[in-house]
Amino acid sequence: MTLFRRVLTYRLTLYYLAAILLAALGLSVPGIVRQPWVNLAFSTVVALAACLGVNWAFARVSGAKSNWESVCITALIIALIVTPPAPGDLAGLGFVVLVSAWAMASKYIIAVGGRHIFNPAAFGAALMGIGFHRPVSWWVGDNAVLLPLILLGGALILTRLRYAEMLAAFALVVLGLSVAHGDLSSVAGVAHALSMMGIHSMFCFFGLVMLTEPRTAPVGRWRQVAYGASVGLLFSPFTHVGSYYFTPEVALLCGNLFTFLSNKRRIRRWAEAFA
Amino acid sequence: MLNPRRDSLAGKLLLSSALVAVSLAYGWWQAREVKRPVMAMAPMPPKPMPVPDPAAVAPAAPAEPAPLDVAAAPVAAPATAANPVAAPKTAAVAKAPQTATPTAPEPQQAAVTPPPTLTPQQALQMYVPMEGASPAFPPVSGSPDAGAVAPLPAGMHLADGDFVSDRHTLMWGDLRVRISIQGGAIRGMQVLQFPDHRSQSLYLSQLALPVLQSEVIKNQKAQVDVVSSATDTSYTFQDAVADAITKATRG
Repeated sequence: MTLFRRVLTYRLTLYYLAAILLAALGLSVPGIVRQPWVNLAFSTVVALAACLGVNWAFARVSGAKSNWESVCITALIIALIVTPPAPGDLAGLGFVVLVSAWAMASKYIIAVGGRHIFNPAAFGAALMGIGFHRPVSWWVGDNAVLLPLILLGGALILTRLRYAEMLAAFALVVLGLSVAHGDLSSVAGVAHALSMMGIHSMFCFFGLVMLTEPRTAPVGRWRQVAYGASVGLLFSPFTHVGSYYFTPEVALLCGNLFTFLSNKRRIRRWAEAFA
Repeated sequence: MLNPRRDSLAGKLLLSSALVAVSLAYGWWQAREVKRPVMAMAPMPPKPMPVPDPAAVAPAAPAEPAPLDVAAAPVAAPATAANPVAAPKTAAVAKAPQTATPTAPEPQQAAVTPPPTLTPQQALQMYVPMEGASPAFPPVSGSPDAGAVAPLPAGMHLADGDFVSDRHTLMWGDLRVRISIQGGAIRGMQVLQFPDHRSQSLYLSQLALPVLQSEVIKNQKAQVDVVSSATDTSYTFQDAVADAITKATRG
């Protein structure tokens, strides 16, 4: 317990993501995780190199101190949500590089008072998804075999960050909408809707890793509950505005915007920067 | 005297501009690449059909297609009664495996129809945004792998003809397939309806369904390997194929 308390949150998240990635890598060799291990290893190396390189360049011109753990966390998230390209797939490789580059750039370009507004990985994925009509696959969510690890590490992160209410609001809205749109006439129908969303989708990874990023999450219990619920509403595959359906990364960016707008002090600082 | 804040802003602007330039270059390159392998993206049969029916031979595609500007002429593809031209769609999503075939329910047990060959014009039209439900995937035909037999109870066989599954609903949309049986084996299939109402669903459908279609023909069974990243779609596809096979099963 003392050791757990000593480990910084960033480092804990880094270990958590590295463990998921290593497990995926290990399980991909016998084919349990359906991604070629070569592609997965290659994609991780590319994402790490791109994130570290672009972060170094931006940190240098901004004169800012950078946290390498935060950079690695973003790179690992990208490796876990973008379908790993084969080493010879130049288009896929370029996609990973650009998602990583924009993720890192957003930390410096869209920031107020040295604090970024949007979740970097979600920003990179959303920008490239919208720009090139190529949404990320969130492949990690399709491998239920990784779920125990995701849940275990997520529980540790939650213990540290105390975002239980936020996550509960998110889960309640997402699972509630899934059940409401599913087959309500039988228990099996409800169970199917819950398992499809809870086990066979990116729901757990998104909720435990992306939603709980402390830098882009609001302060205060009720704001956190509202944040979780609103992101959950947009995350649900049934929610749409006109003909537009939100992708998970866009849903998170909308939540991040809510966090920013709900913080009067940050808005004042932003206005002062412009004045 | 140098202003560090202005220097920092200039540096950020410079780096951001470089990133925008690289992204635009990538987009331009992708747009060119996407146009080139368009025919390759349409699922092709692994082998020619072994017993060609003279009536079932599809008209050959023109060898030298006239160049078609997809962006400028979205309705320039030939329109026939079977292939009506759909209106433009508002959502600007590139759709790879599409023809202009309507998704209206097909009559079950219809006579075996020839799988229409995708002309280059139709293939190019895949990238034209469409209105409403996406048209069906292009039909896939082929021969089963050696030794692959449909797992049917003793004394049962598959009746020749086309069989359409019921509509199977998954979380992301509806899925319906048609299988074509010739000589007691699945020789062709087409996905008539698939999840497409959001870009993620469309992406996953395009990723998984062509692979799954070919696998069903090769293995002659509904329970083929699941495509990673499209688990839900794969399972529902299996259910739909199993449903169509059940309809084709005769004593």
